Amino acid sequence: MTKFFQLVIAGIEIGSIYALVALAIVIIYASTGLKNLAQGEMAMFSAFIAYQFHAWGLGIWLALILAILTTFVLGMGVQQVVLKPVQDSSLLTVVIVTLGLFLGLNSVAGFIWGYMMLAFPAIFPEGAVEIGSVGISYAAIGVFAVLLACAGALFALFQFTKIGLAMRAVAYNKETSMLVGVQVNRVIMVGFGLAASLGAVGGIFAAPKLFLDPFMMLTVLIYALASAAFGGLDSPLGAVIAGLFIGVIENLAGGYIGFIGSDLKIVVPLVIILGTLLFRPQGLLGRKYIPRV
Amino acid sequence: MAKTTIIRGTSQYRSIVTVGFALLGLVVILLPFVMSGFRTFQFTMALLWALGVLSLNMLTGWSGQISLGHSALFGLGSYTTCILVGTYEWNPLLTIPVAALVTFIFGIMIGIPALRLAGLYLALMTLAIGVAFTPVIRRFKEHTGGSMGISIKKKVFPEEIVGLNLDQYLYFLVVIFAVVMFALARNLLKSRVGRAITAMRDNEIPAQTMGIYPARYKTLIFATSSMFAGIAGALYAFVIRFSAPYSFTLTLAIFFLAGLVVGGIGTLAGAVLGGLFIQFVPYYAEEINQSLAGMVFGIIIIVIMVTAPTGVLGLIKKVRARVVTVADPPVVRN
Amino acid sequence: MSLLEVNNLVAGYGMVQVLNGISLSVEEGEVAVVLGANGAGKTTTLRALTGMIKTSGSVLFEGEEMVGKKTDQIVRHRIAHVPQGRGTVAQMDVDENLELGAYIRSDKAGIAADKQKMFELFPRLAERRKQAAGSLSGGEQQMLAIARALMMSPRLLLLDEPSLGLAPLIIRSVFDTLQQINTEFGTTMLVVEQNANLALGIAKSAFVLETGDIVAGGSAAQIAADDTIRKAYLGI
Repeated sequence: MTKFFQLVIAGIEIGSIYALVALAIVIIYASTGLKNLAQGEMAMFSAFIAYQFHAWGLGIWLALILAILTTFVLGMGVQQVVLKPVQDSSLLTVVIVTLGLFLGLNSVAGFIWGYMMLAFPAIFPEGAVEIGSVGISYAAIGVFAVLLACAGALFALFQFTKIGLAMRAVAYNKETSMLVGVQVNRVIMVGFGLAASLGAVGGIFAAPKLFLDPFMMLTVLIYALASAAFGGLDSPLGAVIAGLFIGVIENLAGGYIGFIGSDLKIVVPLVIILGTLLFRPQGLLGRKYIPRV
Repeated sequence: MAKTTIIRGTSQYRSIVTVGFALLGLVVILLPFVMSGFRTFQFTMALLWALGVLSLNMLTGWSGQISLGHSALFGLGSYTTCILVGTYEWNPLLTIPVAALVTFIFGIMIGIPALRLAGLYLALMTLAIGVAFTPVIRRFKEHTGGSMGISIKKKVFPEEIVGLNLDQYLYFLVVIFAVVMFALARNLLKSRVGRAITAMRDNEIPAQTMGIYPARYKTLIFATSSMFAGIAGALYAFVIRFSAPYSFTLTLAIFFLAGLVVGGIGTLAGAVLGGLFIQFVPYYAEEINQSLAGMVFGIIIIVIMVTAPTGVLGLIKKVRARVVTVADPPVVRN
Repeated sequence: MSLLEVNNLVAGYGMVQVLNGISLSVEEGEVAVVLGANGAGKTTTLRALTGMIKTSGSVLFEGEEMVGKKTDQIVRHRIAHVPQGRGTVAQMDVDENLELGAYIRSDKAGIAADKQKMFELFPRLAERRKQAAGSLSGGEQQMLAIARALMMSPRLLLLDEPSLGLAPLIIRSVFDTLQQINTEFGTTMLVVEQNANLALGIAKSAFVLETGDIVAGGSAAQIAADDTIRKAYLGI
């Protein structure tokens, strides 16, 4: 039983990261219909920015807050320069452009920080809370708490603030939003900044565990995409639940099924995407879309 | 300059096309005798990438579907050949049909579930396959050699018999395959099946009402495209004589996509331009900096998609249109 | 000076020109209607006024030029537009739609008071406060769309075929409500409508639009009394 709980806790820890990046993907998808395949790379870039601030001598918490704020601005810039021109283009164009962004960000990170793995300083203190024979590390508790805090803040933003109301309105109906005076493009831009920041939180809190290198978020992206698809592409709550679920399932599968081990864990999201699209294409909590001629 | 108009199907048009192809053929044949061995090798590689781009083009350009798993399919072909030749000592040419079959079946396996849904999910799933390929290859290291890769050590081609050196031999081998594959692709596009597929891309639901079953065609085109990627991968194994998991990462899939975008989505000749681009841009860029190629590719992809979605070939056509007009013959009514 | 003065307004979609330079004006406090058959350019007229399509010519609102401004800027002059097909956010509930309607305002107390007014005006909406707009009946959705527009406390209310897709009885009550709004709140309205009889019934002035040109204009009573216009353009 100890092994089981240990695996579940490890799953929740990594699942929190998936959920954060999935949230970022869902927010952008819901508000613009764009699926940002570069979301993971943007998060990776933010982790490097945090690393850089820390390397310049800032405390780790200050460094990561500054990195998240920087990412907010960068995210808005990326939307304005790269994605806005193709916002209403075909899916193919959008996917290709976000992949261009993917490759570009990856290479720029490699150019600035190199391809060697860098150790990212621990954000939470070492050690663990012992419950019976199960140890829950402070890092695991911390990351999970960060996820809950982000999800809670997001919920509050959407439900109780004017900008949140506008963001939801834009996501659902751009024309009506425009007609009540919402500056649709600006709202989308802020949405991108927000999503980028959420991804940044994911990237930064993943960094101490995964180490820093330009490819660190590649598998996280796959898990996050699987979470977004599984939870429902337009459902933030679905993204959180699915992210945690996939993290746990992946760890249990890797831990108990010898054939899978650590190398084949990556097949888990693949199976989940496959299962989702076969049995419930709109995802767990997503809305069904019926195309019209 | 006075603008000339050339009508398709006239003898003038045919002679221009014939001369053009003859000149191109001459260049292709003479190239390995004029260039150094290394240059010849580079052009061989460019052709291999062109075949990779072609395979992706069949899917993306014709049917509008997106695949990020073509690096994995290319790799699957390469591994098939490397394992059969390296471990089981097959005749390399015999491994091509096997690689084709393996990737065709794999393509059907991906295509069947994916065809039920919109392109977004196909992109997602193939992305996952592209990323999963490396760890899966590592997992089965007793067959694949794991992270170390697998190589073909023995000499496998009797190049001296035809009086060529190895670089020249491989070059011509790939050229022959390329000509056949491009011709096949062209005929497929012009066939009933090809027309059904492009009709579906342009608008799926009306196509359905005309009795075209998207599911069947989507699977078929996905499998065929996979097979082309697999054959290209097998040829790659001939040339490089080595397969390693890190040669077939997502980056390769994005490079294929970049080649496709640069050459022009949906055009056959664009694939060749794309192949040259994939081979030579990183070669020169990496002399300056290791990361430069990726940056250049990333920026070029974005700039082209935003400003000139028809790619380089589209630009060439536009320039040509300023000089000559190629027109279809007028319809004659009796 | 009229509240709204449109001069030689040209608009269209892409290469297709729909409005060939129309002119009309709306006085403060009145209800004006634009009548015309399908495809006459009624919807295009309203879309041009709120900057939703490419437009040239002149639209003076309170003496200020609107052509060339973006929709959200135009709306900030408190021009409310209820588009065809209702213009509510289907996924949001009634309350949220009303909040959204007041997006450009920041006087919290005023917003709350206006919301209360809306619930008095449309008691049905009060009963369905927490229901998603998309789940309301067609008539209720139209009421919500109007209420949403009024939440802006508009200087000018543009209504695009408020009768579209509604049952005759409901249409009647929508128009009664519009008249009530005009008399109680003094809201200036420009209504485009196919149903000429109903629209003329609440209007003070009227314009007839025919394939992109205004072919007649004057007081609603005049237009209603003119047999040639009625036969030629209004089919009544």
